[in-house]
Amino acid sequence: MSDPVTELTNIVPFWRPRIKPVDLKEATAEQLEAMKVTPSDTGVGEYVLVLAHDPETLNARTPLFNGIMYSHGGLSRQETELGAVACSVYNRCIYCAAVHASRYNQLTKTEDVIESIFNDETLQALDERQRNIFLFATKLSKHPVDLDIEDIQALTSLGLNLSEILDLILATSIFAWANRLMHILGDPICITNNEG
Amino acid sequence: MTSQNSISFEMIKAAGISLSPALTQVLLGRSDLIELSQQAHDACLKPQEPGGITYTYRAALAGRISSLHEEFELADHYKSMIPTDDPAIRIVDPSLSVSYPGTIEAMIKHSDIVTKNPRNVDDADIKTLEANGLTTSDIVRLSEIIAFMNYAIRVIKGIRLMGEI
Repeated sequence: MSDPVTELTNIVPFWRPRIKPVDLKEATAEQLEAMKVTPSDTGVGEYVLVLAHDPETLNARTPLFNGIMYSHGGLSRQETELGAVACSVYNRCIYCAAVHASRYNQLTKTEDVIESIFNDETLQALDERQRNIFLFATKLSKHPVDLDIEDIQALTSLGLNLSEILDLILATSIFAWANRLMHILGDPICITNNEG
Repeated sequence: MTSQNSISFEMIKAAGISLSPALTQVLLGRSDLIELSQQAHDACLKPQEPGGITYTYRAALAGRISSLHEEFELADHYKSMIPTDDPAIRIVDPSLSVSYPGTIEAMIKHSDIVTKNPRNVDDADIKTLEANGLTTSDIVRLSEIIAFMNYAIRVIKGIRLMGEI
């Protein structure tokens, strides 16, 4: 078996579960409903099949995750991804960091911001707004008790309104959740080294 | 469905936050996400199928994770869901060291490390849960409880701070 990827990367690895996923052929009606599987659908990912062991939570979590990441209005898509990246980098969830770093790069058609986040503690490539969003999300991920009103004020002074700040809080926090599934229940495996 | 002008996420009130009309308006802009957060809460705390993790232990772990984040009012909220004569009530306070049966002890230790330092969790931690008798489904249920609480507490902290502006 391949060793897990341990370095931050924007090449999305394969996710290998540490526990046995639900067998799609044996899934209950409730599990199929939670996975949003249609009768012809056989392409359900391992991650969803693992989470299907708790269909009640999966049933609420999937629309919540999608709503936070892809709703219209409020914080821009790319800044939403920046919150996701900050949390995943802090938690060293290699898989989530790779997915959302690559999305960020696609949305912005840049690579220097992610390159800087991965390799440069001074975050030199980030402008003031990007830097403050990233640092706010990192602090919320690390130890939320440390967050104070000045951290919110730093964002409002850069022009973020409260709806955008709420979106940033939600985007960062949903990765406090996602990282604690993805990084706990499986390993990121280099895509070129596996057959799956 | 909730009414057009109320916020359905009970953790906000349980954490002692009173929402100003202005902040309520901001949250109503994402009322669908607030409502889904409440649904996720119920799925983690009071699921129809609790498997091997009883409501009491779910409340105890939720309370303990609240305590670890210094959300003591929220911790008391979960404590109030545990019968007062049940030893599980002590789980809510991380400063109390007590010994529990192996499965419970393993769940508590796992919850602490995943909450505080998820990056250091590896395959051995999952093996420990299995060795202590947790089924595959219970490992996922436990993971969701821990992960949900880590989400929700950050949302609560953020909302509280937004209200202080």
